[in-house]
Parts: sequence; structure tokens; C-alpha cells
Amino acid sequence: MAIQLKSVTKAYGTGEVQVKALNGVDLEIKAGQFVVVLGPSGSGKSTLLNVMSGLDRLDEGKIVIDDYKIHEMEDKALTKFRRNHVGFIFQQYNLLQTLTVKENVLIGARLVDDPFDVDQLLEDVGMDAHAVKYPFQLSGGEQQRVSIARALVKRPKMLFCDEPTGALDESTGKNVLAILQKLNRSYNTTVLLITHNASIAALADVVVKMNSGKIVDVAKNTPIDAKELRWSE
Amino acid sequence: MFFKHVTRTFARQWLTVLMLGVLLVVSGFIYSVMSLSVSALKEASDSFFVETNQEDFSLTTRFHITAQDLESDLGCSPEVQTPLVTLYHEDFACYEAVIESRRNMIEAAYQNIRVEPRFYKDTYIMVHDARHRSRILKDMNEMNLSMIEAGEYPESGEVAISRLYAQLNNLSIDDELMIGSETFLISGFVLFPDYNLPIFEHLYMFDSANQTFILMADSDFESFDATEHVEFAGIFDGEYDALAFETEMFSLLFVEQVVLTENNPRSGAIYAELDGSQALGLFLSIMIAVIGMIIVGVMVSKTMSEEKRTLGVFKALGVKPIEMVFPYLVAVFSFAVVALSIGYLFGFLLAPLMQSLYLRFYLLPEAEIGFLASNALIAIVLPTVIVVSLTFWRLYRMVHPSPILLIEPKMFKVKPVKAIWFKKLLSKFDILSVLQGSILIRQWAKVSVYVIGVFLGLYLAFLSLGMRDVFNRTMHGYYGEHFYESTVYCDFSDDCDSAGHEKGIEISVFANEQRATLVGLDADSEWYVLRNRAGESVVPKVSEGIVISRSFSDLTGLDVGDDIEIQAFGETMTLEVSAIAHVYPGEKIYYDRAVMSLLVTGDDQFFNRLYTESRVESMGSALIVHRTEMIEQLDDLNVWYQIMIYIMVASSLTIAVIIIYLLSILTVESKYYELSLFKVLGFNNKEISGVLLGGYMKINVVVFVVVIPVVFVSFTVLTRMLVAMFGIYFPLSIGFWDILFAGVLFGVVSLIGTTHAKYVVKKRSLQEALKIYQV
Repeated sequence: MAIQLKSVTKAYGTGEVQVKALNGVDLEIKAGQFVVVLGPSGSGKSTLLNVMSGLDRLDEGKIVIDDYKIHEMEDKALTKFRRNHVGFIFQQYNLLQTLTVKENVLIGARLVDDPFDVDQLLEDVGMDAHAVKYPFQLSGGEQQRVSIARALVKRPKMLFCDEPTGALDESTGKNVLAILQKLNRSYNTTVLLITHNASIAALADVVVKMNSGKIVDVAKNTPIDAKELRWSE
Repeated sequence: MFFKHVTRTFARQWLTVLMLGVLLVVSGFIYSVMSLSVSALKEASDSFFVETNQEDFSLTTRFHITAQDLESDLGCSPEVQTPLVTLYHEDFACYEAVIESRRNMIEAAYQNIRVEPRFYKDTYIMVHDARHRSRILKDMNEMNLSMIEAGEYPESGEVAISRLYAQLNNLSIDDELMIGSETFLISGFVLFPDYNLPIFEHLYMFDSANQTFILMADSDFESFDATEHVEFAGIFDGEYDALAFETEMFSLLFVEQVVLTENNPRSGAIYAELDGSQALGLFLSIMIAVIGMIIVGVMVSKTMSEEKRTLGVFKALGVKPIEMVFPYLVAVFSFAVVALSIGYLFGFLLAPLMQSLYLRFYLLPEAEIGFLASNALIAIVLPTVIVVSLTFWRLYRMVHPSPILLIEPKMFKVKPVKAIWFKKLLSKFDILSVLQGSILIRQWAKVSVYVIGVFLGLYLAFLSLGMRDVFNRTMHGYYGEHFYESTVYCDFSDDCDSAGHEKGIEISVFANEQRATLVGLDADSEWYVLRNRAGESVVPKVSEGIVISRSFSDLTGLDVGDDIEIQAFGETMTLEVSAIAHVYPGEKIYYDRAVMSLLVTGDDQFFNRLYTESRVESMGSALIVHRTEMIEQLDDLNVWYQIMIYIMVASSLTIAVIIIYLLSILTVESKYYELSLFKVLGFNNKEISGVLLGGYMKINVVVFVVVIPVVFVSFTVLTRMLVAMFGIYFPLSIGFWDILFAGVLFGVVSLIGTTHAKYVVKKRSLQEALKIYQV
């Protein structure tokens, strides 16, 4: 899916204590691109993800994803949009602790009419051997892989990843990124990944840098293979 | 600083805290208003009964000469069946000799008893153009002494009357009062310990506005123009066996009725009534308190769950657990003490009103309501100790883990073993059903609290609905059913003419070792109505066996087809229960009048009641009670009684609603994490509600379905317990409309609760929610 942002503004608070988390952001992402958003804490990265995915509302501007005018959509329509087109991956995995690995993925599959085969997807992310385990029996990297499988099972056209490797060590982080890269290439899924870790930018087709609610740089990049990534914090 | 934090934490949850406060206030109120009013009344009544030397029993004797009377040396020879009233007028010395002889025979019939005749005359008084009943009592020497509440003991030409009657008819001391054809001056207000309850032989004549007893000087009593009646009052000087005593008394041919003070609503049953009220109040209060504890537990637990991170930070900074816990304890302690004290204060202020409601029913001395340490202890201190202890326990357990675990709490570390069997059970269901079940199982402790809380809340609602119509069921409905207008009491009159009226018999008997009233009815009676629960007439069933009242059935457990053993007319009969009449007042059993008559007189003509189709104003000296008047009086009384009941009903329902509402909010809000995650993933509201609330909706339905049979069974048990323990009949009962009402109320409250909870969740940013609740 192609994404287009025009003069997007989002503020929190009112009056003197008002903080502009996004201040006139313009951005274009083509379908199937792997985009990495870099920036320090408070730069507006998470807010950008929130408004693009329809989790939060923008104050001004326009967000158009393919034919969907996100800025005009009601809650109900946004829910349907997320359900059919968007996958999320979080830093803390956010798995349901009461369900097994497979059941967590089945929850994602339940959302659409034509999901991927759950067993196949678990195999793709290397979790087929752990299908009946509960999240607390898994390592952080394994949980994140389940989270990825849950996000992808519904064949999303876009994948929003908020610090997906933030809680992982280098080796595990690289594995997770490798899976994301593979899925991006295999299924032409648009990936928007937010991170503090500048080295991850090497995987991106486009690198977006943010500061104080503004995009300060957009650079095209020739991505390297995740296994070749030089990890730095 | 800690205190400030705690105060703000509670302030954030002002609605929950407010409702919890209402719960505690109502709890303290119900207990104190019931307990204070009844305790004071009971204490004053105890002294009153001791000071006036209340009778332990009373005997009604035949109003004519019996063969046994003639066995004594009377110094005269009246003929058998000579009415005492005739003897009174024609040979007063002989009349006195008969009374003295009966007194001696009674004292000789059972060991260690003292007996004294109680003389009285029934007449009418005219007040503000209204004709009211009155009973003039001659003061006794040894027992049942009069007590002047206000004013002076009456001299000649003066009378003392009931204070309540005077109040209700705007009469004051020194006012004139027309009694019969004579005018007297009211010298004071008087109470008697034997006739302090309903008078005129009728157990349910509670109306103090239209009748009064009167005390006058002995000389005035002797000369007053009305028929003199006599009963015998007695006192036991030691232990006694009720059955043996009554058997001995009934061996005397002239004894018609034996009434023990301890189980007679006319006098002694006031103890039981007061005890019963106290017990009912206590039962409700304990129930409310238990429910309150559960809610406090849920609230503290929830509040603390949200505080875990803060507590972890405090702990990491080196704050001791007790330093963290202390401010919460102080806050909870202060809150509980203030709320319960407010409830206690309301109870204290309204206790006189409650007492005045009691005094509409019972002619007892007014009692000053003062501070009772034991009452305050139960109403304030005890619940406070429990609430604070519970809070301490929850808090201490909560702050025990390491700071890291508090700051970054794990959902759980142990494999949910309990869920496995359940999940296997659900494995064939949709994944959302599996999730729904898993969430419930994982949070089994919270779910249990929810189930118990909702169960108790619903039970409380049903309990209050069950109490709502007790008065109608017990009395009003009973009188409203019949088609006769007047009941003529012919026990003491030979002037009863049965022509054109239906005959009846009423006598006191033992049935299955329980005191009961045996009522003789003609099987073809058209005016005396008895119906079973289905509404079918069961009067014809008196010819097939014994018909028993619902109250007697509840008391004894007897059902249709069971045998009943009746001791009457000097012999024991075993009869089969042919039907149960949906009648509550009194322990009544009904039998064929003609058969009873044969046992009494050898023919089928005997009766001591007449039921008349139209109003009969007089029939010789017989006492007449009019049904419509009774209903009017009951309607009047009903207003007061209903006020009492509605206070209880409103309090209970308020509590029930608060409980269910709070539980709904707290339970749904605790699913904040799952709610948020599902929204982010793209589940719509309907699906989320299905997963997170659907389980609770199913629980609600199950609890509602389960609570109904529990209510029915427990009402039967409670009714029997109250009868067995306190001698009061309080038939709790619910019907279809009560169930429907409770169901709708339950549904609406749950819906409001969940809607409110969802609204709270919706207000927050979903992304923030995920970060707060990240696992």
C-alpha cells in the first residue's frame, strides 16, 4: 500500500503546555517499501505510527493510504481498515498470556476471511516446534516471532513495527529483522519500522529521520541483508 | 507525601469510593436503626413486664355452669348450663363462689401455680361522633398490674385510657369521655401487661386508633352497666411443662382455652416479635456487611494493582513496606469509620421513628433511645476492623515482591494448569470462545469474587422483594378473600341465632405437638373462602380430611397426604391432610364443622362462630367483628408497616444495585489490557464485547438462574427458622413479576456498569494503554 502524508499535525495538551508531537509532516511511501523511522525520544516517531495506522487522530493535514482517507474516517471505519490491512508488532510483544503460541496466531487469523495457513506461518518464523507452548515459556525473541506471525497471518498490506527489537539482544534482534525483511520481500508488505537503533536503517529502502515533531531527512537506501547487519545501540 | 498520593489515588476513583461509602452508610444505618429501636423497646418492655408482674398464662373458662363446678361446695345449687351472667345478676354470692371454686380447682390441677381472676367488661365509647370499642379492666391485686404512664390513677368518676388511643383521637388528660351512657374524666394514660396487645379475643386487631382498654376505680367498674366477663391469669412458681400443663388444664371441664404468655401474640409473643425483628435486622446487616467486605476486597485489590508500579518505585527508593501500607490503612480506616458513623448517626436519628412504628402495633411503654456501646461496636468498630484487616492483608501481600516485579509486573509465571482441562473442553469451539474461557479461568479468583458478589447482590434484591408484600400475604389478603361481612363470636353468649348465617367453630388444639387453631367449617360454605396456591377452592376438602394453612404447613413440614395428630376434646385423632390453604395468619387447621360438633355435643348443631353475609350490628351480648372494618384498619396499619418494609427494601435494593454496578465496572476495567490490544489488532466492539464481556454475561445468566431456586429454598428455611426460633411468621415469597423485575434491574445495572467501564476505557489512548499494560 502506498502512503501519503500532507501537513500532518498532532498536538497533545492545551495552551502553554501544548506539545506538538507532529508539526506539519509530509511523507510519501510506496507500496512494498521497507521504511525505517529514526529519531530520539520525543521526536514524534510513535505518534507518526499511531496516526498513520489509525490508532490516534490527527489534528490537521491529510493521510491517504491507497484509496483510504484516514483523516476523514470514523472509528468504525478505522477499525475495519486496521483489521483488513494493518499488522502491528510491538516492543513488548503483547501476546495473550492465556493462549498458546498457535492460539495467539489463530486470534489474528480470526480477523480476516482468507488468512495465511497458521502452521505454515509458524514454520516460516521458526516457531512450529513451540506451537503448544505458552508465551511465558518462550524467550523474548521467540515471543516476538509469535507476535510477527500474529501480525502477518491476516495478510496485511502494511506492517507497523514499534521498536520490535528494543527488548532483544543482538543475535535475536537480527533474526527478527531477518524475518521481517524476508516477509517484506516475499509478500510485498509495506513495512514501517520505528527504532532508536540507527544501524537498522541499513535494512531500509527509505530512511526517515525525525526531530521535534518534524521530518528532518528522508533518504533512499540500498538495503543490505539482515544477516550482514552491524548491530549498534 | 504518601498521604497526598493515597488521597489523590482515591480521589481519582471518586465514583467507586462514593458508592462504597453509600454501601457502608446503608449497612451501618440498617443495623443501627433496627437494633437501637428494638433494643430500647425491649429493655423498657422487660422492666414493664417485671414491674407489673405479667401473667405466665391465662385461661378462658366456660361462660356457663358445668357439672364439674357443682362438684365443689359452692353454698348454692345452680343448674348445669346456667349462664354465669344470669348468676351474676340473680345470685352474686353464688357467682363469686363459682369463680373462687374454679380458681381453687385450677391451682390444684397443676403444681406451683398461682391464679387470679381478671374481670373485665366490654363496651363502646363515643369519640368525635365515632363509636369505638373498649374493654374496661378491673385492676388486679397480684399480677397483671396496671402502669400509669402519665397523669394519675383514676378516682371515682375518672378513667385512664391508652396513651396511643388518646394521641390518635386528640384526647388529653382532663378531657371528658363518654363510655357507654356515662361520662368520665380522663385522669391519665395506662398500660396493662396482659392486654397490651390486640384485644377483643382477636389476634389481629392491632388497631389502636379505634379501640382502647380502660382502667377505672373498682367501685365504678362494679357499677358500670355492662356484662362482666372473667378470665384467669396465672403465674408459674418454677419450671413447667407446657404440654403437661395444658393437658391438665383441659382435664377441667370448664376450661375452654389455655394461652401461654410465651407463645401468645396477645402478650408474651412480643418478646419473640422483638427478638425476630432484631434477628432479621442482624441477618440483613451481616449479609450486607459480608457483601461490603467483598466489594472492599475487590476495590482494594484493583486500586493496588494500578498502584503496583508506584509502590515498586517507592520500594526501590528504600521505603519500607509498612511505610507504604500505613497511609492506605489510615485512609481506609478513616473512610470506614466516617461512613459507618454516618450510617449509625442516621440510624440513631431515625430509631425513634422506627420505634413509633412498632408502637403502632404494640401497646408498650415508650423507651428513650440512647447510645449503646454494644450497638456501636457491632455497627462501627467491628466492620472497620474487618475492612482495615482485609486491606492490610491485601496490601502487605502486594508490596511483598521485589521492586522489579512491582515495576514490571508479569501477568503470571506459572503455567495455567487449571486452564488445560477447560481448554481441552473448549478445543472444538471457535478461538474466541477459547480465549473467553481462558480469560475467565486464568482470573478465577476475580471471577469467583464476581460470582459471589453478584450472587449476594441478587439474593439481597430478592430478599427485599420477598419482604415487600409480607403484610398483604399475612393479613390483608386473608381478610380480603372472604365473602362474609361479619363474624359473630358466640363463645360467651347464648344469644346467637344461626338462622341465615353460616356456622363455624374455632377452638385451640395441639396438632403434631404444635399449638394451632382448629376451625370447623361446613364443606359447602359459600362465604368462607380458602384457596390453594393454584387458586382453587379447598373448603370442600374439609370433609375429606384436614385442610391446613400454608403457615402451619411451613411450620410443621406437613404436606397433602401426610397424617396429622390432633389432640382435642380430650382425645387424639389421626387425620390425613387433604389440602393446603394459601392462608398465612396464624397456625390454622380446618375440619368439618359437623364432625367437630358431634364430638363436642353429640349432635351436628354446635358452633361458636357465625359468619354473616351482610353486616350484623348486634346479636345479644355476642362480640361482632366486621370484615370490611378489619380491612380498613389493616389498610391504615399497612401504611406504617409498609414504611418499615420499604426502608429495608430500598436499602437492600440500593446495596444490591451498587454491588452489581461496582462489580461490573471493576471487572470490566480490569480487562483494560485485553480491550486495548483487541482494538489495536482490529477487532470491532461487538467482538471485543463478546470475548471480554460475553463470559460475564453468561455468568450473570447462570448466577441468575441458580439464585432463583436458592432463594425459594432459603426463603422456606428462613421462614421456618424464624417461626422455630422466634415464633414469628414472616413468609418471604417471590413471584413471577418479582423475578422479572429483578432480572430487568439486574440486566440494566450490568449494562450501565459495563457501558460505563467501556466508556472509561475508550477515553484513554489505545497506544498508551498498551504501553501501560505491556506484558
